[in-house]
Amino acid sequence: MKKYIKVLFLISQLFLLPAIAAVANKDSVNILTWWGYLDYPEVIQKIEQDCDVKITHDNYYSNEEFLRRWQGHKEYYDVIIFSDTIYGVVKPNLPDLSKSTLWQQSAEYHPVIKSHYLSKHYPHNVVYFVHAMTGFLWNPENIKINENDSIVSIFKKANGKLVVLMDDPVEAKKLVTSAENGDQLTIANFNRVIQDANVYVTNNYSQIYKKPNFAFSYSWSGEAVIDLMAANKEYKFLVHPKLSYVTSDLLAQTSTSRGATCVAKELAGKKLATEMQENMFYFAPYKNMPVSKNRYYDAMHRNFIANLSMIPWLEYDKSQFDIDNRNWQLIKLPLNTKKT
Amino acid sequence: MKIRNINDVKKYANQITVLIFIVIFTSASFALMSHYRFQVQRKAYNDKLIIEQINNSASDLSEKLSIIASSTVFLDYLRSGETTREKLYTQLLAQLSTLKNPNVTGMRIIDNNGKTIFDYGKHSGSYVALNLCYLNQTLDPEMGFCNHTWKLYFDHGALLRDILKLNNSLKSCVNCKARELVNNGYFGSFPVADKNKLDFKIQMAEQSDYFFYVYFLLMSLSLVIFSCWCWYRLSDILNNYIAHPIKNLAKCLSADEVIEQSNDIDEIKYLVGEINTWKNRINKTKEDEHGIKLGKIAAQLAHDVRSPIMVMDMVIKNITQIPENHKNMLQQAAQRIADIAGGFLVYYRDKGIADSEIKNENVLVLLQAIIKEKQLQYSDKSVNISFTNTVTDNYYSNINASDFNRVISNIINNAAEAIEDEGKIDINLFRKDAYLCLSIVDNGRGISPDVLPHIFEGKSVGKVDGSGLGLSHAKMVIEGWNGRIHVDSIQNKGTQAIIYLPCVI
Repeated sequence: MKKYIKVLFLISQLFLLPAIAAVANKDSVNILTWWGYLDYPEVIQKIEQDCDVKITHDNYYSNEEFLRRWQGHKEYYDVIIFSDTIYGVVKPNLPDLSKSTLWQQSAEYHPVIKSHYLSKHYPHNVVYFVHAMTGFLWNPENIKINENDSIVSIFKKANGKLVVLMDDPVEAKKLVTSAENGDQLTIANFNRVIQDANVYVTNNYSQIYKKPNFAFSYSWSGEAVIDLMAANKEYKFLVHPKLSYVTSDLLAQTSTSRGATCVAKELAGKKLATEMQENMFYFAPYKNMPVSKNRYYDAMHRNFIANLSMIPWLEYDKSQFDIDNRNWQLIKLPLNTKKT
Repeated sequence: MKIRNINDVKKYANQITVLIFIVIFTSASFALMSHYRFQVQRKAYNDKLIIEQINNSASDLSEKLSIIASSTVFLDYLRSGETTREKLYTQLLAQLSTLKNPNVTGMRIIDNNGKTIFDYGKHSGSYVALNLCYLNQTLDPEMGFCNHTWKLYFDHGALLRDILKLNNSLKSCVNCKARELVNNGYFGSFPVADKNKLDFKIQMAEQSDYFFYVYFLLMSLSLVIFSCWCWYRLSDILNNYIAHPIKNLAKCLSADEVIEQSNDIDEIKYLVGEINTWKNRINKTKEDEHGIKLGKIAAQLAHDVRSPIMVMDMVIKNITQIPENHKNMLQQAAQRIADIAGGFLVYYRDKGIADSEIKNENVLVLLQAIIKEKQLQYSDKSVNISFTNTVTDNYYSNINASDFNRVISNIINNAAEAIEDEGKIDINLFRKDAYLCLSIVDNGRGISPDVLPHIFEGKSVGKVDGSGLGLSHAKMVIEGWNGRIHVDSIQNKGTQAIIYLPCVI
C-alpha cells in the first residue's frame, strides 16, 4: 500500500514540475532606457500581464552612460530605448532581426514622422519611441528670452545666473555651432557661447530648477513639462525658430524571445503611448493622439503638431561622434570640477 | 608726592590702602576671571576637539563611502533593474569590500519607492540612512537628484572604541553630554535621511590646572611683594614724619633741651613751636611768682601805711607850735609817703597780686579800729560817726582783714562824701541768723534811682578819687567770703548798706 502511495506521489510530482518550472522560468525582459521613462509600476505591470513576462529595466542618464552600458553588456538587454543622435554608433551592435514585425507600428505614425522614419531606413526591429522639441525653459524673474535672441545673447542675459544644458555632445554641438563663429564643439567655442553664465551640464536638473537664481535650461519639451510641474513656478518654454529642433528616441528590440517581441510591441504601440503621454509628456509618433489633460503638454503638443513640417529634425554625422564626445568630456570636466 | 602735614600723611596712607585694596581686588578678580575664561575656553576647546574627533571618524568613513558610491558598479547597481542587479551583485560586494570597516555590520540600499534593492550583513539598532544624490555621475547633495537611501548599520560599541582610539585623552562617560556622529544633518558629505543611536557619550579626561596654579602662584608672589613694599613705605612715612619727630620731642623735653625746628610736617612744627612758647611762659611765670610775693608784701605795707599817715596829716594840721612852712613841708612829706604807698597798692592790685588770704578774724575788733580811724579822719568835718553793737559773743568770721578794712573804709568814705554840710553815719553790728550783720547808714544826699541798680557794676556813682576799690569790688570780695552786701538808698534822705558775714561756729 505504501508503495502505491509513493508511486502516486511521484507521478503527481511529475505532473506538477512543468507548472513549477513555468513559474520559475517565466520570461524576463530587461530594458535599457532613459531614466524616468518606465518608472510607472502600473503601466509596467499591465505590460507584464499582457505579455506574461517579468519586466525589469535599467536607467541611464546620458548617451555616454547608455553607450557604456550597452556596449559593455549587450547580452543583458532585450529592448533598448535610446536617442536617434547616437543611432549610428549603436547600429553596428544591433542584432539582425529582419523577421521582426515591430516596424509595422510605423503605419499609424503621423505622416511627417512616418516620412522621416522611412527616410532613415531603420531596420525592422527599430521604431520611434517618443519625440520631443528642444527649447528654452526660462525663469521670467531672472531673464527674458524671445524668438529674436541669438544663442550668444541668451547666454549673455544669463550673466552669472544658473543655466542648465543637456548632457549630450550632439545637442551641445548643435547649440554651439548655431552661434555665428562656431562650427566645431571646442572648449573655446563653448566658452564663447556661454560667456559668464553659471552652467550646469546634466539631464536631471530637478534640484537646479528650484534655485532662485535659475535663469534657463536648454532642454527637451517633455522634461520641461515635468520640471514645470515639479517647480510649480510660472516658467516659460520657448521653441526658438533657429535653435529648436525635433529630436527622437528610438526603441530597438535586441532579443528574439517571445517576451521581448511582445514587450517591444507594447512599448512602441499607440495604446501604451496614449496612456504614457499623461506621465512622460513626450510626444508619441502616432497621428490622432487624444487631447492630454495636462495644459502644458497639450499646448506643446499642439505647437509640435502644427509646426512639425517646419521644425528641423536633428541630423548628425555619426563619424563625428567620437571626436565630439571626447571634446564634450573635456568641456564638461572643468564645469563639473567647478561644481564639485 | 611731597608730604607737608598730617593730612598729606593720611592722604598718602589712604592712597596706599586704596591701592592695596584695588590691587588685591583686581588681582583676585583677574585671577578668577582668567580662571573662569580658561575653564570656558578649555571646555569649548574640549568640545571642539571631541566634535572634531567624531567628525573625523565620520569623515573617514564618509570618504570611503563616497568612493564606493561614486564607483561605476555602484551607480549601475542603483540605476539597474532586478535582472541586472543580480548580475552586478558580486561586483558590488567586491566594491563594498574596499570599505574595510568592521564597525559597519550591515547595510541596505532602498529606492524611492521604499523597496530594498540591496541588503547585506546584520542589522543593528544603531544606524544612519544616507541620501544618495547624484548630478550625472557625481555625488552632489545640493544639486543632485536623490533617488536612493543607503542605510548603514553599526556596532555602536566598536564604533565608540574606534573614536576613543583617535585620541588618548578621550574617554567614555555615563552622565556627560552625548555627541552625535551626524553633524548638522550630514554624515561627512552625505545628507542624512534618518538615524538612530548614533550618539556617543564622550568627554576629555580630567586635566590639571597647572597653568592656573602657576599663574595664581605668580600673582600671589607679586601681591606679597607689593604688600611688603606698601608696608615698608607706610612704616617709613610714619617713622619719618610721626614717630621720630615725637620721639625727638620727648627726648628734648625730658632733657630740658631746646627743641630745634627741622623739616617736619606742619603739625609737628606747630607742636614744637607751642612747646617752646609754653616753656618760655613757664619760666616767666616762675620769675613772676617772686614778684607776686614781693608785691603782696609791698601792697600790705602800702595799705597799712596809709592810715597812720592820714592820722599824721590830721595831727600836723592841728599843730600850731611849728612854723607854717615847716607844717606844709611835713604835710607834703606825709602826702608823698601816702602817694607812694597808694601807688604801690594800685600797681599790685592792678596785677592781682594783693593779698587775699582768708582767716578767722574778729570782726568787732577790726571794725572798732576802722571806726576809730574814720572818726579821727572826719573829725574836722561835721560828720558824726556812731557805732552800736548788739552782738554779745562770737564776732568771728572767715575774712581777709586787709580787704575787710578796705571795704568798710571805702563804704564809710562814700557815706561821708555823700554828706555835704553836716550829717551822721550810724554803724551797727548785729546778728541775724548765722550772719554777723553790719549796717552803715548815712543821711547824705542818697543815690538816684537811675544809678542805684548799677552801683555794683563798677561804674562811677559820682565819686572820682579814692583807692579805686568801689562797691563792685566790695561785693566781689564779700561774696568771696560767702557773705553778701545790700544797698538801699532814698535820694536826699540817705543810704543804707548792710553787709552779711557768715559767723564761724
